[in-house]
Amino acid sequence: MTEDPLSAVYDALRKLAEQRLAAERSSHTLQATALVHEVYLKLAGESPDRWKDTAHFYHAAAEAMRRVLIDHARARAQLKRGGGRRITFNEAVNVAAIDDAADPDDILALDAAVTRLGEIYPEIGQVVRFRFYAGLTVEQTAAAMNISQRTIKRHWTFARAWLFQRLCPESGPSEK
Amino acid sequence: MTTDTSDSKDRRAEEIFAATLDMPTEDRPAVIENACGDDSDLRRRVDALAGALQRAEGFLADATVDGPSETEIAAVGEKPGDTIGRYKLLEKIGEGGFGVVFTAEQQKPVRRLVAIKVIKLGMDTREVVSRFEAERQALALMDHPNIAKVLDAGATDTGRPYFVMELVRGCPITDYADQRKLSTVDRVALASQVCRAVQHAHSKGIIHRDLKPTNVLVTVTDDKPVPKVIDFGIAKATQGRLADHTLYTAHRQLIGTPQYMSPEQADSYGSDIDTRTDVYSLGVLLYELLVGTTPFDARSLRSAAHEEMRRIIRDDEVPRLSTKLNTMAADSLGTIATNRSTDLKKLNQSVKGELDWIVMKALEKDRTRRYETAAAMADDLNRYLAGEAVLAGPVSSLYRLKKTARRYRAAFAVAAAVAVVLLVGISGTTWGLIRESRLRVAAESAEKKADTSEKLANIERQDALVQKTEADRQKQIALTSEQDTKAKAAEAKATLDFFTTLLSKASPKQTKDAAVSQVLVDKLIKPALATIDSQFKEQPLVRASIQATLARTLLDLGRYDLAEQQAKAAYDARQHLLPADHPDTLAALGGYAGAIKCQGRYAEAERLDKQLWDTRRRVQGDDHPYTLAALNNYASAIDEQGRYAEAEPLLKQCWEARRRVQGDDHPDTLTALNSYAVAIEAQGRYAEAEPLLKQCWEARRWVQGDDHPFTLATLNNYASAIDDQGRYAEAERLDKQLWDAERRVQGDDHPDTLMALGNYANAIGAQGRHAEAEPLDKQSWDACRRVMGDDHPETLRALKNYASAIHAQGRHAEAEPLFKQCWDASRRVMGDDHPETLLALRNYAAAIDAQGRHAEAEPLFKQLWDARRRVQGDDNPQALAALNQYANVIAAKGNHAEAEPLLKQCWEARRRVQGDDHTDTLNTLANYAVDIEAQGHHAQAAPLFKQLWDARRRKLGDDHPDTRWALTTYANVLLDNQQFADAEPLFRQDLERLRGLSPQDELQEANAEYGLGRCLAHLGPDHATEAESLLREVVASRSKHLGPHAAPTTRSAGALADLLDGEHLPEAAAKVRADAGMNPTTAATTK
Repeated sequence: MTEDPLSAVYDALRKLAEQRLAAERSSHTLQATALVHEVYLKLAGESPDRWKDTAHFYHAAAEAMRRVLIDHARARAQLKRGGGRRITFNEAVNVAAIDDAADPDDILALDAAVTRLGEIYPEIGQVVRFRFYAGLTVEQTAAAMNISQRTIKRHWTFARAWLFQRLCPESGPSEK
Repeated sequence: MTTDTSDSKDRRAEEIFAATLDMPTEDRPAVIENACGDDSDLRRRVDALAGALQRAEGFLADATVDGPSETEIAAVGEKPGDTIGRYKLLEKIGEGGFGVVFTAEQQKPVRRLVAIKVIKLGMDTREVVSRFEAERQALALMDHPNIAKVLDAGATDTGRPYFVMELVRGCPITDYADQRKLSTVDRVALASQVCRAVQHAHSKGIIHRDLKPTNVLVTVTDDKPVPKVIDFGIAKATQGRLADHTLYTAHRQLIGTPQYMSPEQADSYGSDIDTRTDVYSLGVLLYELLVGTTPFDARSLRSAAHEEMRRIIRDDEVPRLSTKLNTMAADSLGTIATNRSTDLKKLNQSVKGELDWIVMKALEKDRTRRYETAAAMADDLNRYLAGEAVLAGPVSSLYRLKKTARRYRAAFAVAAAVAVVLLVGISGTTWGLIRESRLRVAAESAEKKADTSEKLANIERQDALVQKTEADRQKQIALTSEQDTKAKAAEAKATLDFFTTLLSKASPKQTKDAAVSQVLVDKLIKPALATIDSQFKEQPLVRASIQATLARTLLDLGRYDLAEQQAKAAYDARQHLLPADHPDTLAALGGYAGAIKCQGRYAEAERLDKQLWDTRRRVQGDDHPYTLAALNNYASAIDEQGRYAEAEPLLKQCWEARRRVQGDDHPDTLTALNSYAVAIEAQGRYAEAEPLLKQCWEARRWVQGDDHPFTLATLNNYASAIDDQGRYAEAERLDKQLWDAERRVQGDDHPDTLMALGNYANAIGAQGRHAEAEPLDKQSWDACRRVMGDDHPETLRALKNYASAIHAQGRHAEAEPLFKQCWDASRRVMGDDHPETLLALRNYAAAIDAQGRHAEAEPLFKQLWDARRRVQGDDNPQALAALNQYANVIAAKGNHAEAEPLLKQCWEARRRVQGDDHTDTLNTLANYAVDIEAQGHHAQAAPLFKQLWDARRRKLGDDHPDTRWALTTYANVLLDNQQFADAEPLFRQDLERLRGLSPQDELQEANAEYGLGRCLAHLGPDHATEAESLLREVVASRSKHLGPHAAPTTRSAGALADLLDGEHLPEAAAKVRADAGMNPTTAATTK
């Protein structure tokens, strides 16, 4: 990366986060900057030397984003409000939530499903992690994984169907 | 069927499905049929996947959208005759800062005319289109006669985004109204229709963001005007990146039109927008329809610098309609009236009152005070049209209205929650789809009663999962139980999702009104508790998560006892079923501790918080935000028990870690800073705490806003630090500001509001206006008892203040039992050594002492001093105050020699700790000097009084009563010490000022004259004449005011007679003595 590896990482993350969040539908309590800050913090603990190339970085970013999103989803299950009664704060975890419309359970369920998909089809799981968590485009994903865009698109379509069937079966669980 | 075959069949099905993805859609069925052969089970699986793909439209689609390549082609303007996608451009019908609008012909699938808006270059086309795509499904749901549909969006060959809309042939609403010379009533009716249209969009989750006359076109159908709102979804798509300041500056024309922009829009660069933003713009639109101009005129806004423009929108008061009319130029006024088929006077009358109120309510700067919805605004407009009273009211009757408005808001919160849930169900986003599917599955499975086989399949699936991932077993247990729970309880949870969402949405600030939360709790929550208990017996983890939600809601509603019950149940269940360090278990533990803490049971909370902190440190590391939150809670629990010195280093540790990890201005960091500063403040280091609290308050105003509860809490602390340093007038101003804000934000009965009230009353009392403070204190105590119960620490604080106000007005006997009650309760609730308990003890002792029962008070003060030294340290100002009081009560019993070393010790410590000139230090010095003087050590006392007098002159000025007391006392001490020449000028100075007073205080004057006269009498024959006339005046004055035989009169008569004796005038001396009823021959020895 550039002379100042950390600031380059930061810029790259910010871009990723914007991409990721700009794509979401409704109002976010988790702003792009906040997301970047958190991801950055998670990555900053690791030496930048570790990111040998862009693909490696995307990989780390995707995982970090995933952790942020999941942590936030979990946090939603906790007390959101740090009640400032009297002088001191009886503070709970007041971390911003991801999206008021997203049930944290849904996020966790989706994450579990993605994990499962990755166990069965590692390459497809990786595509989902890049596309969904890191918010990479097909082009970027293809470059990062060194496989064709066509394959990425096919994997992505497959993953959407597979995940959707798992999370939202037509009627009852599919496996009877 | 074994899991293995089921799994392998799935893999086979997935393989077949994957293979079809590269083929044209029409070829797929044949391939699938071929591959599956007779295996209908396999076929079913493949079909399920294919079906899922069909149904998955929108699912994860919002994750990323791949637009055209990033390289944008140079600008080439589209022109009539060009083709964009399926559309052939016909005619240019408009052009603006945003781009160009054409009519166009759509050829496929149907032939029709549409409008196409091509956005100018300079925007990231891909982002614009992707934002539009994200909202497309919601836009498609809009179906309203007064909304022009947005049909499509895409990128032109030149890479510019375009939007395709229903073609509306009409003119802007204001133009239409003027052309037709519509009356005020017709204009209001038109505006009401627009509000309804906007409401429809809001109910589909779409905010317009750029409402203005040119986006509300009026067409005429059957001779009736039909307003149509155009451009829905476009502002959002083109403004999505407004959080980025550079883009804002570069394309400011895109952000919306300044005249119609809401304060939050101007302020947040578009990042903090909700439906009330549209309500504001509707207000401007109505404003312009009624009086022909916008509140802030376009020219001045446009000419203003960027920041100035924002400031105007954010801060400048919107002129009332009637005011605006009065300030307009006469010629334009004529046109405005004519355009409304009326004259100026009638126009003025028609907008005064109700229309003014409605417009002003829509244009409130604070969006929480606007109409909550466009529908509410439409309703009010219709009320106006129907001649009914409108909800909006004049600002003057605010108090009453605010109360009803709050109830109204709460009711709306519930309604909005319903709307939100319904909306999520149909909006087609990823999460919406999941939830929708769940609801449907739930409904179906309820019909089929296929429970058993489902459960079996699920268990099999879970087993397989667990087997596969033996390696990471610990993690998997958690995962499995989550999934397991989810699958088994899909039905039940779907039903309750609705309920809990409704509750959690309904719980924030809107429902702080005690009456409303009472209704919510009684009508909604309490009946649900029993149901939840029984209905989810079989799914304890689901029940636990519902209970956790309920606990949170109940906490928000201030029902701490019920919250604790639910939080404990959730924690117990999770602790029992999940690993001890499972995130859910820890979350539940935190919630449980929080509920306990809210009830003031800090010792219990401390134990739980410590446990939580330890676990989080182990599991998540020292610097994890959750770990730090746990640390903060733990330290706060210690702090709340008054162990400030113990809490301080923990809080400092927390603050420093957060600055490092989360940054200086992160809300969590500010929370830690606040707590840290408060711990310092609580140890009496007020001056040290003040700048930290000021820093924290300012950061919070900046980061979280003026009215954020935390901002207000820190303001409270900042005010306390100032109050504690004796700057009461400053504190009073801040306290009033805080009370007003809390009432506005949280309602009259909220604990924070009550605390603010208490502090405000306190600051008033501290300035000696006790009679003013007393009713406020009573109000505070009554409300606290009602809201929090008799024994809550806040209630006790209020009781203490109320009793103090009574005490300060001299009604000590009335205050005493109240103080006693306060002390007893404090000891019971908070323990013997808690600072509040000690304060109660001090007050109780002081009330006894003030009634002259010094012997009874003495052991109480001793107990107080000992406790304060033990808890707060020898040099703590409060410990020193206790010492001072203890010494005073000993002195009051007459044991001056015993009191002297204590007072000396106290004075020296105060000089060291609080400074030479601190009020407390000077008061102790006064006590000390008086004590020495009382032992007859005049020579020792004199320099002390001199020091006191000098300090008070410096600090308070010559005319302050305390300064005067110091001067008089000092002069008399000098006189007693026979330093007549030194005392004389002091008495003269005092006398001069007394004579300058109006009205004159003759007795005070007589005292000074008495002192001066005696000095002169000892200064030799040259002064005898003046001395005699002064002493004669004293005798006359005292005789007149106190009676001829009163002790002071006879004392001064004695002094006069002695003087006359010295002058060898025995007859005159005898006469004076006789007049005073003294033995005429006995020379009195006067002092």
